[in-house]
Amino acid sequence: MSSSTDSPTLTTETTQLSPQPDTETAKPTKKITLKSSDNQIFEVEESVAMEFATVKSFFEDSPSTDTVPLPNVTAKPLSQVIEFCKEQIKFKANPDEAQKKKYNAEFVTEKSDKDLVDMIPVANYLEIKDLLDVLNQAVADRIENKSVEYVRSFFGIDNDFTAEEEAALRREHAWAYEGVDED
Amino acid sequence: MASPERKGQTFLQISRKRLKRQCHSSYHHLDRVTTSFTQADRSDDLPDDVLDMIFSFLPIRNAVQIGVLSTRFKNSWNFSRRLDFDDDFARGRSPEDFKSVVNKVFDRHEGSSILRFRLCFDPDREELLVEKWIRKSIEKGVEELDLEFYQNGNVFQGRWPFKLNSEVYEAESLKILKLNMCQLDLPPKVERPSKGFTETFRVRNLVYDLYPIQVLTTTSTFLEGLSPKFIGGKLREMQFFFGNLKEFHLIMEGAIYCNPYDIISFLKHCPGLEKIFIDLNDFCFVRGPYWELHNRQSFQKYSLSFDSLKFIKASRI
Repeated sequence: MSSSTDSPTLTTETTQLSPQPDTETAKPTKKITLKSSDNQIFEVEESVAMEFATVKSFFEDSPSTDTVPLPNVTAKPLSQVIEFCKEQIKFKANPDEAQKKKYNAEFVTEKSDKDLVDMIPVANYLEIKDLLDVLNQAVADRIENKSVEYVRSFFGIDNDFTAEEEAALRREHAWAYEGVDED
Repeated sequence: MASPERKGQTFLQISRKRLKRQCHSSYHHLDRVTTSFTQADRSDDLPDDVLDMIFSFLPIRNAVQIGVLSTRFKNSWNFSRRLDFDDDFARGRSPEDFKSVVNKVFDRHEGSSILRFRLCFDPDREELLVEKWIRKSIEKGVEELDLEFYQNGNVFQGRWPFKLNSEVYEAESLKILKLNMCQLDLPPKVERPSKGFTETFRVRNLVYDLYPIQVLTTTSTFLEGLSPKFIGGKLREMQFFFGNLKEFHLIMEGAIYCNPYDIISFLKHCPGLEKIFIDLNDFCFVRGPYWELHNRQSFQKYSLSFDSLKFIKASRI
């Protein structure tokens, strides 16, 4: 993990680098306050907040607001999402595909299953497409080649098939089950 | 860009609208959008649409397997973004069986996005079908196309490599192209009508710029297809340009005519190369009369510089 996510010099730079061509009204302040559902306050650079399409459109509609309430988002996944977006801003300023790939890979590798899964609805809700792609792929990689039972318990899914229905489905797509050891 | 009719809506309503709109773009299949997001202290109740989205990142075979999770997910595989029908899948399967599975997956595919299409197949007499699959994957924004064609029975019984048509080199989403026994069918410029343009414009327009492709893996047949050809009695160079190619991996397999001149004629169209890999296999360069007459001098005259080149690796397995 990068240790420089909170570097004050860098955040100043990124603020200047953030162009806001579609904002017609007066520029909002440089810091934006996000409030999680468990009432934690996050002060983030405007450029980072604008990575969240949902927050961006909120500001376009109500530019005078100073605190954005995020009723569906709790503090922990939000802080991780913010950490990711801060890094992406750096890559926007200095494109380096190899470094970005490396960072993205490290970002997901060090997270627990639960952390990853908890971030997905947040990234979906805030519409951060790059992060969503990274997270979805990371979770998919973790369940790839795992048994159906494993995936059920991973996501807490209840099996509502009858034994006959399940057998019929397996027969219909027999090609996909060849050579698979069940559980 | 505050639109008046949106004033007065709550943040949540706006977000929900945006989510709906999003379903029609990249996460097209989220048509059962709910805003009941997971409570963060429990990660075991993700909504079905979010789960469908995660499952779409599984390779197709896995995506079909998880159809038995529960009735809600039995069709999740229709949204798979990773259509891998590679040699693992081909092994021990009859061509008929192979064909019908791949065709069914493409016919039932509902997702708006396909990231990868891997195919390990003998395209003999199924060219139209293969073209249909490739076209569908390109329509859905495929980024990685891995076409490993082979020939059943005796290898190289005078059959031509598979000709990839213009859809492939005009696909803007394509970043990684891996081709085995394939050629790009670049028509010579006389075949392309371009009325009303001045001569200069026409010439420039006829350079095939394969800009999006960053990684290219091919067998030597591919280079043979792109090397200068006699057209109308003159030796003409094919007009193409890999403006963004970073990695080139050449596999000398079944190389009949390919020689160092063909390789260098190709490389000069790829100025941004960083890495070159050449698998020589059992290739043995024969200095035949064609080389002596046509290629040797031209080869020695080349002086190319690759400013970004970091390494070249030639290996013999």
